[in-house]
Amino acid sequence: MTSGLYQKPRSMIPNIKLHNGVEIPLIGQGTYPMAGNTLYNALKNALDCGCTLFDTAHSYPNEASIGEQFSKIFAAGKYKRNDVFIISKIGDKLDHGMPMGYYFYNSDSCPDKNHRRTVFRQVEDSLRNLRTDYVDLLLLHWPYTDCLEEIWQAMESIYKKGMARAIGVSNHRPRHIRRIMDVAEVTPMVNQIYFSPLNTQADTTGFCNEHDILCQAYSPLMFLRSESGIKSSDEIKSLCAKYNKSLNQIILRWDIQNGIVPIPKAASLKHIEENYDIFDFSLEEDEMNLISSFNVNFQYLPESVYCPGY
Amino acid sequence: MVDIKRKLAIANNRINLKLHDILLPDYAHIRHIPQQLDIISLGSRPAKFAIDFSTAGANGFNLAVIPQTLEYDFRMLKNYHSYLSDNGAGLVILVLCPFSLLKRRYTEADGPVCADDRYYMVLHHALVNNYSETKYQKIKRHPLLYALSIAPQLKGLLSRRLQRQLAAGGNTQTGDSIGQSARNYVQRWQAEFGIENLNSPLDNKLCDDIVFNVNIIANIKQFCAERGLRTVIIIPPMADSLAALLPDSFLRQALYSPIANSGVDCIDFSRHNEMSHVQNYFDALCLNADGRKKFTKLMLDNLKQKGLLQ
Repeated sequence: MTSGLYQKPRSMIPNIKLHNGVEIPLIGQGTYPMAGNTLYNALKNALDCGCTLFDTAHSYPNEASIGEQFSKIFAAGKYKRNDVFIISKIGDKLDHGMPMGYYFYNSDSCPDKNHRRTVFRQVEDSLRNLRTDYVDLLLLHWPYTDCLEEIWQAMESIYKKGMARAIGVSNHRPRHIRRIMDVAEVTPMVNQIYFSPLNTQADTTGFCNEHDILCQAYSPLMFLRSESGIKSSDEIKSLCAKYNKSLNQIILRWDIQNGIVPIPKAASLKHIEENYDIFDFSLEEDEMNLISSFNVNFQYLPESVYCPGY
Repeated sequence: MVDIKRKLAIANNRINLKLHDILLPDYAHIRHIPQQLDIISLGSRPAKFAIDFSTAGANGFNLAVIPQTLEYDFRMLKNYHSYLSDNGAGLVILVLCPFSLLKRRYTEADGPVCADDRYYMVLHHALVNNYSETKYQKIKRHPLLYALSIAPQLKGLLSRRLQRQLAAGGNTQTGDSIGQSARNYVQRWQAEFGIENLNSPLDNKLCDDIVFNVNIIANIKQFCAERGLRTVIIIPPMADSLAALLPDSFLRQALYSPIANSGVDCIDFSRHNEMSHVQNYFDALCLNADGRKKFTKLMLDNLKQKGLLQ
């Protein structure tokens, strides 16, 4: 494990190519709901450790703060806008993390049913908040079933205008992606999902692999806050000892070797350094299977609660 | 100071939740729905008192609430279907009673039950008719103010509390009291639906409402099929004295023919000889705790025989 003085060169976090040729880092940094100095330090430390991918969303309360902190970082001169890969997402409004039904529904809760206009407004808001004229990856946060095709076609327009270098989806299952592909000129490049040893999402990841859609994992380490058996497993502890890595690092490496790009959130320098120090070892097949054996199809965000009719 | 504010916010939230549970006791249990279920049941008052999966050791959850239309049964399903396991039985049970298909929506003529307030804390906002953000904020953040605004309806809380006590107990009724309950039910239904003679054909409005509800059932079936779920209709038992007051011609028109048209399998326990005795009921339509335990087991055994459950 790295010491606090070690600074990983930027080049040691590999990239992978999306199907449109855009390169994307193999690991990223979550930002919800950090703000202020905590956010500044997290962004700066992540960059200093070689992480260049940062994830946010229109519905996150701190998107403007991210723009503000990046401005300060870029003003210092060491890093520029095109050194970082910014992901944002369009989606429903949130109230303390819970969806409001305010955007992308054809119901009484949604005042503006011109969903194409809503897509453009949200992207313009995000670009203004982030103080940039493009995002590297724009995702659709959930498969809003009332208007999924309409939203995707608006996102294709955003992509063609150069406001996003790549477009994709989040929390989509194969049936949702098929709906999109039935009307799409541009196939989603990414699907950001909840993926962890507690939910290995075999159907979704298999489908995405077949269609050259890269899977990312949000909150890849969140499950470690609850009792899942993995922390107390002697076999898992042996893995940590064998590779001299923390459980967090073992899990993130397991993600990478599954072809998944993890986006953990870390605020402290120690955790940030640790999260990106996962490219100097490799898990064996039986070790990968051991970690996968903890799967119970656990839903971190119960899908139908966040997106009814899911 | 920040810590004190955070603790106050947490305490305030807990108090609000407790107040919600007091104001809306029939909905409080929904917040505790577990993941990885095999069965979800939906319905209104008879459904709520007919099924208790915990008594039979079954991995199911009863989402029935009082009162409920089929329209909102579907919305409950859209909101909670993700709690069904991908690898489980995937069974959705629709519980219907003789007058279920005659009710399209509750209106002001039905009194306070027409308000959709009761769904604000258990359903996604996009699923609530006439959703009002102002009302939602009042219910969520100021439950005492909300309680004052609905003070006349709070009187009903006492009678519902008594009902729950009766439902939770064993046999407390006599043949005479159940017989009177049966007559009361039929009189109320006839008044509610404007039916002077149960032997006469139903009027056009009721026929239209039946068609409306049959379409909902068909949509539920399709929704479930798209997600690998199965649907079955259950007609729960009722006391002999109530069954005797409902002519076959009425039941054919109001229940059995529409169900046949819906294409969903149905298991009819309404005149099951194992459930006929008054000792199973706290009123002519609803089972008490003993009856509920007996019926839940009977229903599950039947579902297993039909291959719908392991």
